[in-house]
Amino acid sequence: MRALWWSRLSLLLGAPREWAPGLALLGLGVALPALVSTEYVLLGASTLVLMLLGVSFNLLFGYAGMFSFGQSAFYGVGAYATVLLVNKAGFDFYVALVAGIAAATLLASVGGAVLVRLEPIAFIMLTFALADLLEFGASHASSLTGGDSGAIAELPRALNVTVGVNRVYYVILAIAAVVLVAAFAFVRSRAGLMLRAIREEELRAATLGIAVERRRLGVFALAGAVAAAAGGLSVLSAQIVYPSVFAWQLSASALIVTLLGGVGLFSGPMIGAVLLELIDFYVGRSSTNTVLIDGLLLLAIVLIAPRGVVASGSGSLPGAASGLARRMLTAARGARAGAPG
Amino acid sequence: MSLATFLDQLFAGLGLGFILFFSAAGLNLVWGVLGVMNFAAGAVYMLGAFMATTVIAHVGASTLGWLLALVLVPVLAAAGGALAEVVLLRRTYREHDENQQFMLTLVLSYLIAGGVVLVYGPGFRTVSLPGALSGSWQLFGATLPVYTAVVIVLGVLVTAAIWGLLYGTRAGLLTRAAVDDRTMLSMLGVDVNLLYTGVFAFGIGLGALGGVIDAPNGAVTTNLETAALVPAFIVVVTGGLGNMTGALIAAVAIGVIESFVTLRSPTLAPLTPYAVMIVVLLARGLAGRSLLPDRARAAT
Repeated sequence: MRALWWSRLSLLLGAPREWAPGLALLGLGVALPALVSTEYVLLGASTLVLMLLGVSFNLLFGYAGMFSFGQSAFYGVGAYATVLLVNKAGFDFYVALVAGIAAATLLASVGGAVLVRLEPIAFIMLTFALADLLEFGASHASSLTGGDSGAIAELPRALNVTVGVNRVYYVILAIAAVVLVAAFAFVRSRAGLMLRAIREEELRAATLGIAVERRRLGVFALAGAVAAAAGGLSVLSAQIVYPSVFAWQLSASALIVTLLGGVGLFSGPMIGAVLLELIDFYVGRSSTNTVLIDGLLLLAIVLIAPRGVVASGSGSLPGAASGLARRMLTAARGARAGAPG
Repeated sequence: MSLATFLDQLFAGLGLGFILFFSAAGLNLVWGVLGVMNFAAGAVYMLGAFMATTVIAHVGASTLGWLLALVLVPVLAAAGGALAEVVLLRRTYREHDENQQFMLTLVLSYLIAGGVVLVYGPGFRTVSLPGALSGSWQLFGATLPVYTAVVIVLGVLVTAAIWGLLYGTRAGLLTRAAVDDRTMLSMLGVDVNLLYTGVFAFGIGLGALGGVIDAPNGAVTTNLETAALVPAFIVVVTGGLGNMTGALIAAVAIGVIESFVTLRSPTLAPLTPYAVMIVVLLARGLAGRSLLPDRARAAT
């Protein structure tokens, strides 16, 4: 009886490396304010936001094989809707956040109805173009958005990050945890399984009776909602929204954290977000040319752990270390042999 | 609208269209042959513009300096592209790892952008046109800037050269064969690796050429990366992936229409590429038709 129960649970949650690193990170997240100084608590807050954005990208790319290069579109809609509803309509922050998520979900559903029918490369480019179009709009509709000088969130004292970092941090952590659990429940559900079937073999999935386009639209809307939650929470950690929330660099970050951690692993983008934020934090301290150093570090990671840090480790720490060493050796050998083709 | 205004906008639009076509052609070729979505195309364009400022700063803003930039910068960029292809991209074909390919071109764009900031600093540069190229001619009451005429002529020449290379030479024949069936080509004894390196280098050179030609039109800043990348993407999608004729028509159409929209509303003009793309995609029934459908589908 008990054995059956356990096997059912592991069937429900999947392989430990799917969820265990993420769970550990959330646990660490709860303890963070007790362990480190304010500066790092703020870093933790922006890491949580980036985690959600990465998970949103991974939902599409990792589980459904849909390469969206415009998750910043939904992130930005979440951020702007939240700020504008708080500032102009006097909404409570939490209500505004939910409304922002709803707005982004609507946009993803309407836009997605067209986008998910396109061939993959057109999907990449048009999701990219959607975000760029919204950036143009936010930058030019200055009477509403404040244009390039940004919109400062008029938040109550209780949600002001300069007044109480820890309080705001825990608000972000709590909401992020709820969104993460919901997204995880989705990927482990029947719908998540069907998406993976579509990713692996579209024709076969369709023949088995899976409504391919409807499933794709569904995950596109869900990923839009998750990205919007990230954007809405970024209002708390940054307290201001610029048109650059729509910039492709942000979508690139979502891609980077996913590839860093591991594509199609739920914990992948979570670990990746921690790595990227730490890299950016320390690079930003010592150099103004963050782009170059980011590029070099990313290059090193892509060459050493091409399948992501989580996937490259074999689950256990010694396994991970030996896997890393093997990859470094292979990379070094490849470089010496003049990159065989 | 008077004939003079019409011609003014038409000339400006043609100039814009050809510059657009160069980046898009580079993207298209690399996508069609290598199956690599070269995200670094915008950064290459920006690099081309910055390198042009260096060449002209050293040689002087003379016709010679400008011609030198026009030849030297694309050649240097192509050499850099060949190096990047051999060192970074080549290893990924065997593994068919498109994620890694995209990631590598993204890394490349970071390295180029970072390199530009390292060398040129965060500020902007300008290039002034040599005297011989900076005047203008009167034509049916319209003003045709000499440089715009030069850009249009160059555009036609380079476009003809691309077609000549693709359809008139053995390398072009092999390139088109590689699009159809790379394995078969390799079994027939063709050095596909070399061919890929050549195509990638050529694509990068074309992108840099766009940057060089565009450099005198305004301030050379790091913003050029996004400013070039987005319209190039749009042109490639609008024209049909891998479809060179489509890309040419799309680029020139977008350039000309944008030029006329500028007349009415300079603020809305940057939206033209999107508008054209949406109309074309809807008209085509969202099918995304392409002359190279096998590659487009195989790359899923």
